[in-house]
Amino acid sequence: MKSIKYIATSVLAFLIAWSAVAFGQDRRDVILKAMKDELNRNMRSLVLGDLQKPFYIGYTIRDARLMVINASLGALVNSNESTDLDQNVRVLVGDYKHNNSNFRGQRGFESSSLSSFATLPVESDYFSIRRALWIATDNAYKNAAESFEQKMAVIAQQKISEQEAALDDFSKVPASVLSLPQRKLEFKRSDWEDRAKELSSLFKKYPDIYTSDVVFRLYQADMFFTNSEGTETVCPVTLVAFEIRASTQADDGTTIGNSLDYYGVTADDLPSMNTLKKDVESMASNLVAVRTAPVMDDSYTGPVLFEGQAVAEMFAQRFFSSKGLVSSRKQLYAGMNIGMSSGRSEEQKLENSIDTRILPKEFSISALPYMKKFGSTALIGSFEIDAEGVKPPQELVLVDKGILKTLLNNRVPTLKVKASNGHERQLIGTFDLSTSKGPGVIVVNTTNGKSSSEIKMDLLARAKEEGLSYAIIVRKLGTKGSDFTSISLPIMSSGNNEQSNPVAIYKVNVADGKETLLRSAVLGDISLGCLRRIAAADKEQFVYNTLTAPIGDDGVTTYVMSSAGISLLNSFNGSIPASFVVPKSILFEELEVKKNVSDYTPMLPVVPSPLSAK
Amino acid sequence: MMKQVLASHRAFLVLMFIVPVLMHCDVCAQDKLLDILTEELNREMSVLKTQQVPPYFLSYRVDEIHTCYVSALSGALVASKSSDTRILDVSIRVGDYSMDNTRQIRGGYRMSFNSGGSSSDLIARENDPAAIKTTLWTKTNEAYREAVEMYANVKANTAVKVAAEDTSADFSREAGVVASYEPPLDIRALEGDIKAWEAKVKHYSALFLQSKDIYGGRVSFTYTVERKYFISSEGTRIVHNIPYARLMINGLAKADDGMELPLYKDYSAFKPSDLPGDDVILEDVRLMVKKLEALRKAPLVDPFAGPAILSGRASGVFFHEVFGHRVEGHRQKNENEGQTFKKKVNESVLPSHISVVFDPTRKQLNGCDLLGYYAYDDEGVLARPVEVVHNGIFKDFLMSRTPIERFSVSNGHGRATAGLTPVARQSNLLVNTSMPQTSAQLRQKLIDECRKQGKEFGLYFENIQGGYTMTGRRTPNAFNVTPLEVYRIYVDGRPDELVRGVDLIGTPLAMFATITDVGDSYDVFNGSCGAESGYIPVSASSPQILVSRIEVQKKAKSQDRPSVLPRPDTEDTQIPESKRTQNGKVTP
Repeated sequence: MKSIKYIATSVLAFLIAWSAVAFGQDRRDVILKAMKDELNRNMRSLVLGDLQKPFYIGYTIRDARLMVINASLGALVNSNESTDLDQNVRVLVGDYKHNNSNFRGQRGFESSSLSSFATLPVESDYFSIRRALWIATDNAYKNAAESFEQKMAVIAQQKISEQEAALDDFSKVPASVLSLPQRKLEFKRSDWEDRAKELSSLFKKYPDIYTSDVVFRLYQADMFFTNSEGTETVCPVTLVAFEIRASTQADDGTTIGNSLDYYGVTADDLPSMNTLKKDVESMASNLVAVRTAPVMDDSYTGPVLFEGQAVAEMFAQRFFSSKGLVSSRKQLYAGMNIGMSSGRSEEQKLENSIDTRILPKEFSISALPYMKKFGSTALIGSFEIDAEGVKPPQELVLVDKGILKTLLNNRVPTLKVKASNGHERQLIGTFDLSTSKGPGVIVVNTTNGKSSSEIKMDLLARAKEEGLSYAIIVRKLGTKGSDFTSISLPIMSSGNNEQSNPVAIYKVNVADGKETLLRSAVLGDISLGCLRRIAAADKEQFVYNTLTAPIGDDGVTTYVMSSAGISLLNSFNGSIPASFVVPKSILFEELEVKKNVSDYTPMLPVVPSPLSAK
Repeated sequence: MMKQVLASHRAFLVLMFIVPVLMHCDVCAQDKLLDILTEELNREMSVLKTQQVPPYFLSYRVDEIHTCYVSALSGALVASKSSDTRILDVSIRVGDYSMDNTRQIRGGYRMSFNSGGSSSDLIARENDPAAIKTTLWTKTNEAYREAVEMYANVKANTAVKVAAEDTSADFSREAGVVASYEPPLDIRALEGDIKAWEAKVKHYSALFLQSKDIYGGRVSFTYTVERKYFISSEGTRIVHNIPYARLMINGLAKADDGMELPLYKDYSAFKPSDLPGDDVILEDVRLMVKKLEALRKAPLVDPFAGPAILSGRASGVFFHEVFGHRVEGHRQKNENEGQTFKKKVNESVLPSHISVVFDPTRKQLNGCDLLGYYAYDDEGVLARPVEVVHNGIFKDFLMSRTPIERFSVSNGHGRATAGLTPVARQSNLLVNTSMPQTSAQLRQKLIDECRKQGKEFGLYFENIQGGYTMTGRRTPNAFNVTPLEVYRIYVDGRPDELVRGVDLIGTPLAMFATITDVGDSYDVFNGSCGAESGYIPVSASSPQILVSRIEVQKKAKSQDRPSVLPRPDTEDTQIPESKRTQNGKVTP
């Protein structure tokens, strides 16, 4: 029986021997060569009967290592590590003008065992990689060729506007060749386990917190992309995430929770254990305080101040979810599908607002994807090439002095954004290497910024003028990935487009500036009208790393369901690492704040917590 | 080594029943998890008992699961991972044994079993009392809240609906308190060297590349050890181990008409070291490769009704699907279920020479380990053999602690996968006969039967992938068994002919009426059975059976053509043929 090492070296020795191509002794080289060879073979010979040949083939391979550690109250709940290679194959039939994309056809679901034979090996075995790509390409080609024929028939049958008919299906871009050095993370598992346990044990002091856990994830990947246009890129992607969650019930039965999320490109980017411990203690005591905090029991309409994380999360959700600064292409549907397409594209609101004002003239928003750091903070959204092998511009101005200029886009042209600006992002945490248009590094700049104290004074003055006895400050919004309505596991919120609920929200007394923590408060819709009437912004900036939810072709935010435990990679829920640099605080002239009505408020436990029963 | 552990454990058990106190002091004291579970259970019960709607039963089940999975595809490793988790399942009952929160809410479309009163989650892998007790506490609280709510619904439903057909109690009273403790297994030693398993699966799977018509072949090794803890407020305390190793082989070819032709073969044993050696497996893979090639060229069968022989494995799966799922006790109570055998007790359902036994206490048959073996079920009840059919007469159901009319206690068949609520499930199914026939006799009888029916041929089902059945009232009460290898046996003496493209279908009672004869040598089918309480290991063993009339229907098939391009390693002309081995690697 052969050992792995022996086989690996023999393959390489052999490949060097027969091939004139320079062939380094490197896993990367084997993977890339297998991709290129199989891609070329398919471009050369793949054709079925009278159907058209593919005009474009793109291969993505992810070579990823992931470690997930989960601890609760000082004990390990889970600790797993895996290495996986996964691929995604895109085949386009037709031409740049008309091809099988942007079409929802009728191809039915067929159960097949073939896909399990398109699995990539975990070792860099040249022919194994080619075999997996071969099966996947064959399948993708058959789907594409059939869809293309169907689509052409549909086009012939449907009335399509001239503008839309003139729109290409796929834009041309120059080929890119890029190879960035590998980035390695320190995977010493027992160390990470010890740290997770230590942090989680802090919750032992809080019997009033019912559930808590600490999750550490380390993700290290090489992303390979090749296409038939000559693009060939290999880029590292790493992400270190610490997520700490806690939940409990308030006296009235309402479930409440809080979380701390830290993201970095490497472990060095994350806070020290001492800082983390301090944060955990303050989060825990804050949560305990919220249990008995007064309920938001009336309706409020008036000035609202957002600070820090709340500002950044608001921009992330409001502008980079389904209805934001991201383009959307109208999909063509086969007739029979119309009734079934409940998630069908809502008209992209902002696409029609290009060249109009969407924010006060003091505000500009740019994508700066190459920016690696802001101050000393590493930006997890930073990237040099997108998932379609397109290099984004150094700076892409999305909003200039309040006027919407363009939207983030990929290679699918839309009516207003015809060219790719390199923002097709690779999702982290899906089996099939899904991609989505989405943000990388987003910077919100303002002119005429004020100091924090000036803004707070402004808040109180405005409230007073409105005849209100108090004003509202929002310091933390729940992230879309965390939902505390479930006591045990956080479940993705249902995908509505509303702002997530505030986790830290305060009443400020107009008379004396005294702050009172509130709970069960929800924010009203932050409409374009509200955004255009932002009254003030901080001159200081705040930096925020987060995982945003992907956005589908038709502009609908899509949540990739995960089944915890089945695949570690799924544990990131299919999200896009993104970074936001925003004003440290902003003042809305007018927002609504209401009481949150909970559907289910179970009684408090009758048995005391084991943590208090000593 | 495992066998020794279990053997000594049996001897130990006897002692335990005599002096249960001994166990408490000497053995369980060493198992910290057991102590933590017990302490929290007692604490919870002491407080909850004082509530207005107190629980009468509370149990904690913790399944500590170690899994090692190594898989190769056509000569290259595609996975090698192992995991360790602990899954908690809390079950709480309010009301009393005769009526509690678990009773079926009748009327309308609903989940057949309400889940009110059980709750599950991951639990700390380390024996930290604070961490584990806090999870037990939150989950018990959740389960209790649900149980109280459901119990109110049950009472209301009972008041407004007509009397149930089956008026048996909701929970059985079992005699005696069961206590048993098995020490942990030395998993690392039993598992052996993972690297060696990686090398083996690569080696085996590489053989599939010998045929250029095969898409690939996958060989996977899994070793699972479930260490099961069960404690209840009735005093039950059980800790035992369920280990099993499996090696699965799966190859795939496609016929020119698009039909996918998978073949499977698997080997099971309690210990990895008891799986067959390289020689046996390599030979089986070679055989599978030949069969895949033959299947590609095999003719399609049209829908057919006539005589057939089912191999022992095929018959085992057939009995499991068609019979086994219909003798699961709890289904006789649910008024959405078909209840095929409910009124058949003491009536003839099979020829008088056939008996059917479910025996979870049996570990082996003809030297083959039986995966449906266990000492206690997932409700803490001692496993025992159940003769469901004796000499053709229906006698008994497989029982969990959910009583049914005339069957008020469990016979140790309450089973579930980790985290789910146990229901009556199968164990080791054995089909026995008092009139065994040799293969030659069966074959002759088949031919005679074909002649009688005027058929040119009968069918022989050699191997079967699995099957499924529907037991409800709102769907046809039918089964579908998926054969992998089917032969025509011709009346005129032509050689047997491999055919493809059919599924075996039918309805249970009609099918049973046609079983005429049973062979004389057993085959074992070890597998994983899925139903409402999850996937559980089971086995089904049977000799060949002769049926006078079966029905086959066309198999659903893929409409996709075979791959357009040849497999890359069979084509690349840059590599001189002489230098290339079949898995695309060179031999020095």
